[in-house]
Amino acid sequence: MGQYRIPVAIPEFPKSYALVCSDHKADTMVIFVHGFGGDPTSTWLDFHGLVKICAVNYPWWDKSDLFFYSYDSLRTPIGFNAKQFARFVDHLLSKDENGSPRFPASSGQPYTRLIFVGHSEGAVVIRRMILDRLKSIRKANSGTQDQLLAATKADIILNSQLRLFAPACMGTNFSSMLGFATSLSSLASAFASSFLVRNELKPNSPVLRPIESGTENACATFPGISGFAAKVLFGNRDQVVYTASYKCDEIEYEEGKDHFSVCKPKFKYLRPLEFVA
Amino acid sequence: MTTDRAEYQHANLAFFRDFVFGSSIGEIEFEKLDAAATPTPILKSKGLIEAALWMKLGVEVGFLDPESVSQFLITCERPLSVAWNYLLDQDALAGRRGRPPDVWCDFMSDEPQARLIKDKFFEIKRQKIGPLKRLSSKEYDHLSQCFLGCLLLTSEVIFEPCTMVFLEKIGWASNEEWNYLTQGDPKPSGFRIEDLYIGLANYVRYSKQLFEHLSLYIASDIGGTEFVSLKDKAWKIHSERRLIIREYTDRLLPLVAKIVNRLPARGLEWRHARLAIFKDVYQITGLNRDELFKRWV
Repeated sequence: MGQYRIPVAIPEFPKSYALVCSDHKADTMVIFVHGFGGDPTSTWLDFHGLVKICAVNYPWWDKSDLFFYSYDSLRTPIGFNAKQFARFVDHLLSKDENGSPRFPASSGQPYTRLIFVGHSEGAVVIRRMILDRLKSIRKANSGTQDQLLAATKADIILNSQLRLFAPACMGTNFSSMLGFATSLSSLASAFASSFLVRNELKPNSPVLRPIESGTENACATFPGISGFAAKVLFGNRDQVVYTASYKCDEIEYEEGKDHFSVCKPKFKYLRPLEFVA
Repeated sequence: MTTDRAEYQHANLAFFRDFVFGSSIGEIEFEKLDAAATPTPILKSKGLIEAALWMKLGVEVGFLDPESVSQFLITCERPLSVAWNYLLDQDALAGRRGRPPDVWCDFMSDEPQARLIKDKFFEIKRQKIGPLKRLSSKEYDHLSQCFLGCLLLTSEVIFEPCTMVFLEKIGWASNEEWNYLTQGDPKPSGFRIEDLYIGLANYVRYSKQLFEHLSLYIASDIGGTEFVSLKDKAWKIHSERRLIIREYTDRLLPLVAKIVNRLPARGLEWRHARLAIFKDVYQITGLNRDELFKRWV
């Protein structure tokens, strides 16, 4: 059995929360970002329990703190959501008023590894945030190429690992809404969303296209930086997003899973736990 | 009890207080509970009672420490009384379901100004041999994880504004107000139909996932009678969220029909979609299948 994980509210970001190792010795930070119409718990059910119960099979999870981010995925533009998400990540990585790392608390040692886990629209938000991060580092290190390279290598966010479940990076199928009609809740959420967000998630939209080209260029320009390429997992029954991804990504498929079930581990479907590792 | 477990329980209460209760305690204590002052007074009051019920269950399964909860209850007593008395005044408990209020919540007294009865709240503690003493460390951990999952799912809806709007309006809005809302007119409620859709989505998802989450643990190798007991008690807490027959037939089904009829395509995919939605409605309403099918439009 794995160690206890203590649930911690993050009041500066309502509805977001953390599950942190009780010994405060985690070296890995895993940040989960839900997708269109999702929520931090309902999207990622039952990661929080299974990482502990199945720790004997996946021991590296025992050194990981889990963070579940909440945002308005239905009616707020992706660019704004990416900026807010950047604030969230910066907050988690920041120091408190005593100069100690905010997380992990008490250990005094910052995380050495960062993994972003995104589902659907959440993947787009993560990738937009990473490109924004690169842009700000470029701006702050506009001197020599060596200076820029050193800055990118030193940044934990750019050197993160991306694990994307059914990402909406190549577009979402809103044409008839039938893809969302696998359940009443996903259909109702889809109809509640704003036209703007739906348009932003359409293939080749003015939001998705720059993220694709920006990411592929960044991957080519900075080949040693891990935060641009992703490992991607689609369910073979996904009817919501286009099951393709960027040239730099590694794509896998899971049989029998749809857009909503591919990211939810069960006792008989532990692949999500392995996939994030 | 190990130091680890004691620390865990204290941290859990801090989380419960900050994340589940949030600002609701202060809001109910100082706010005038009527529809003019707050848009969802009934659901806000029910939410506070429900949060206290989850806290009680958290003590029973060892997720929370009873001594710390007892201290915390001091800050909750007045808001719980205010909330309970309001619900009784509005006939928002017994009248709807034809059952006494204490079937759902038995730790509020039946005086004119109801108050919390601590002995009732901690009744499980008084038992000489409680169920937890029989659990191994591993079983306790699994039970805690199961309970934490329930709590996290519940926290997403209990004071979520759109979910409260959906339940308050479907249960207590006048026909006129309900018709305005479902036709997309924000007068007189001040809410948009998108808020209703989001509330409906949250309500359906929560009901399904709470059931699936509990069933997952029961069906697994680690499942035992404690999980069945947890499921029964969680389902009893959830029971006050369930709509009554009139709300299903007169309001929910027409609303679902409105949503389904917005699907533009026809053909096999459309039929499969309607079937999937029908299954969802059947699962959450618990209505007789034939009866539901007759009303299905």
